[in-house]
Amino acid sequence: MINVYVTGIGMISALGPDVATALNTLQQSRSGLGPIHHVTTRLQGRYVAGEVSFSDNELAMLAALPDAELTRTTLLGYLAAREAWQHAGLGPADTARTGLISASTVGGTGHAEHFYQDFLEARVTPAFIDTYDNADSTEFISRRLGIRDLVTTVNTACASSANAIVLGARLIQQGVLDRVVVGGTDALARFTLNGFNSLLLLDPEPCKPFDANRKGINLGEGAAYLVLEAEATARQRKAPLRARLSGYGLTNDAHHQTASSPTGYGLQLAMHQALRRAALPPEAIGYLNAHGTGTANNDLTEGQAIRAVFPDQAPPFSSTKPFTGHALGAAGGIEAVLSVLALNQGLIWPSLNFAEPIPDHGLVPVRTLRTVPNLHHVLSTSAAMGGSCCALLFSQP
Amino acid sequence: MRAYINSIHSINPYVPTEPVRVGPLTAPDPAYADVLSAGELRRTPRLVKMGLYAATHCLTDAGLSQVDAITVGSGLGSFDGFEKFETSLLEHAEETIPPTPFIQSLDNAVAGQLALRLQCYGYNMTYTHRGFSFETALLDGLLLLNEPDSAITNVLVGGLDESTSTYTNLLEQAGHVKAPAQAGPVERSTTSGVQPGEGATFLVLSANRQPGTLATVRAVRTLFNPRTDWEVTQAITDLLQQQQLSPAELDLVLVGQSGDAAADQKLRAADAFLPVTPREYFKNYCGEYHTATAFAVWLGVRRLNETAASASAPTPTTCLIINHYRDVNYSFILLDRD
Repeated sequence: MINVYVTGIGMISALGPDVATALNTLQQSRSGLGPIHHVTTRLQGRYVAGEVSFSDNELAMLAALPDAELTRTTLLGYLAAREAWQHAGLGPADTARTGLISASTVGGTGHAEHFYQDFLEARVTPAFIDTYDNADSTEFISRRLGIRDLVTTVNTACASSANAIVLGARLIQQGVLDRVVVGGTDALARFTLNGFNSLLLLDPEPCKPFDANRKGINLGEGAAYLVLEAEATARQRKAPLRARLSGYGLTNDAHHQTASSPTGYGLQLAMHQALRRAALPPEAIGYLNAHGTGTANNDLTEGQAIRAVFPDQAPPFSSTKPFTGHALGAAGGIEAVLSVLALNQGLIWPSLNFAEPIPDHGLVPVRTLRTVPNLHHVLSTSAAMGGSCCALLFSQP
Repeated sequence: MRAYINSIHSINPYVPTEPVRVGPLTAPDPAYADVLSAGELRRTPRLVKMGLYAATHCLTDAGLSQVDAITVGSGLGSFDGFEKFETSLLEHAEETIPPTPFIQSLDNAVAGQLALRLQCYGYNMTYTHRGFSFETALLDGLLLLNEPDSAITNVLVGGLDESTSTYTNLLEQAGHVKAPAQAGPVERSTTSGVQPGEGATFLVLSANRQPGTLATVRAVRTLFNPRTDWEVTQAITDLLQQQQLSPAELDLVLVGQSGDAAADQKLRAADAFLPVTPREYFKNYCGEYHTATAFAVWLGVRRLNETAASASAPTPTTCLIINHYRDVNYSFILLDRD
């Protein structure tokens, strides 16, 4: 089996426009959540969110692309993918046998909704249908990086970018590609804010994952990508080895369209698969970056899944969503980057806002930034509407 | 890397007796009540119904009650769900909006509901990438069957997209739809615009060859954003070489020209580059949509299994599908009946 290494990471989120800024913010245990500024919605002022603190114009300037008409999802995606590409030390001549697997759930919805009222009233609008879909951002990023060999887009709701990472790893392991940029991008939109609001899943206050009195999600936005490379390719070009993707699991909970099963069965299977592929016992996991959305259903069932997979003792775990918000299609990518950072820094990110354990499973997350000199293996989980479950296992290179 | 198609079912606009028609092509709705309860019929959006129907028939034909994995491609997913929820949000000024259309707007609804109905806990993926959506679902199926530690034997692979009046209207406004006065066979088009279409196709991709096996998938290739027609013909040449086939050994080519003459230029060149084997222009039958190649696979499988019309026109054994979507997403699928 070909070993798959992470050679670069890139991320833009509520924690900052790049990985270095995010690391600094995390080390101060400072949340990126705040009032909504950039989305035109009546929900402004009612909810906090993990917005990226730049306007579309500012993002275009950061990307040095002021002339292109790009959706926020595309701008975020390009900035994070470019950072990952550069972080891996790659340039324009490094596109052979290289792919891009990106994820998005919102795509250009945020752009389309600017014009939808006008469209309904039969007024002339720009051709927003051409940038509405999830592939629009993927294709822009591919063109900019010069990636041609395998380009595609995953949408499995909140597990999307974790699942994109799985496909990328498998393409390398089967020798289809030598290198692949994987991750996802999603901008905050009126559509999704109202969607989660209509499901009564939003917490107006900063979210409290795994707390007995949790009230729901704070939505976020952003983009995160990893460069994965086959061991031989990475070693040949003396690429920096940041981590090894040692295992993964991808399953479906097959329980309900929007709710997880009582035991988190799909998530259990995903975690078991990841451990089995990495040939590691549960006790090898030094940190678990949980999905931990802060909803009643997720944190109860995910906790039960953790209890089932780690019957002797749950590993140190936390949800980083109180830092970033829940960035939907980008969440799995953001948390994969945070998992690699945890390995590289020997740090465990705290679960903010936790006070009281959920009686059913009694799990207590890591509550303050913890230094761990010998962090060898980090597991990251994602779960989604539609039943998608994913577990990614990152190990020291 | 090859696998067998053990069953395939498609809902599509194809009418063999009427190969060329004017205006958007729609797939007649089958009797969804065959596979859905009254309650499900009421609350299931059409795209999901199409998918559940095609998938259910496909599994029945294969004699399967379970699969090991599900991979689905849909270029647009549930645009209808977006339209309904966005309209409701505007009408209710973002207050007390019913959540159902939001849930239904999730692009992974088809794969998720299939997992739910089948109680399939296995691998479950949805790709939403324009003219690569079905191709990635099919490629993923091949990868799954080929994985060294894989216990996977059967993968349910689907490609589906729905044409709605709003979506067609938006395509028209954006200048993508051919004027009715200029309608005609895609291969003779000299004008811009396409005839929008739709369809839902599911197949069982299997590691096991069975007496009822319909075809072999020998290869799936995608090519993103080629700059010249040479790159397209080169991709076909490479594919045939890897498969140790000469172009003359192809005995059916299904060509995905869209009818937009400028966008079709590279595929036309590729079409001309291949020898004079029998060919069909499948978008005359199904219209242009993101997952039209799923229909093309269904058509190819059908042609490979038809009784020969005459001794001079024997049943084909090797079929190449060549496609593009908007001159950006190029794909090549090689099928045979070995």
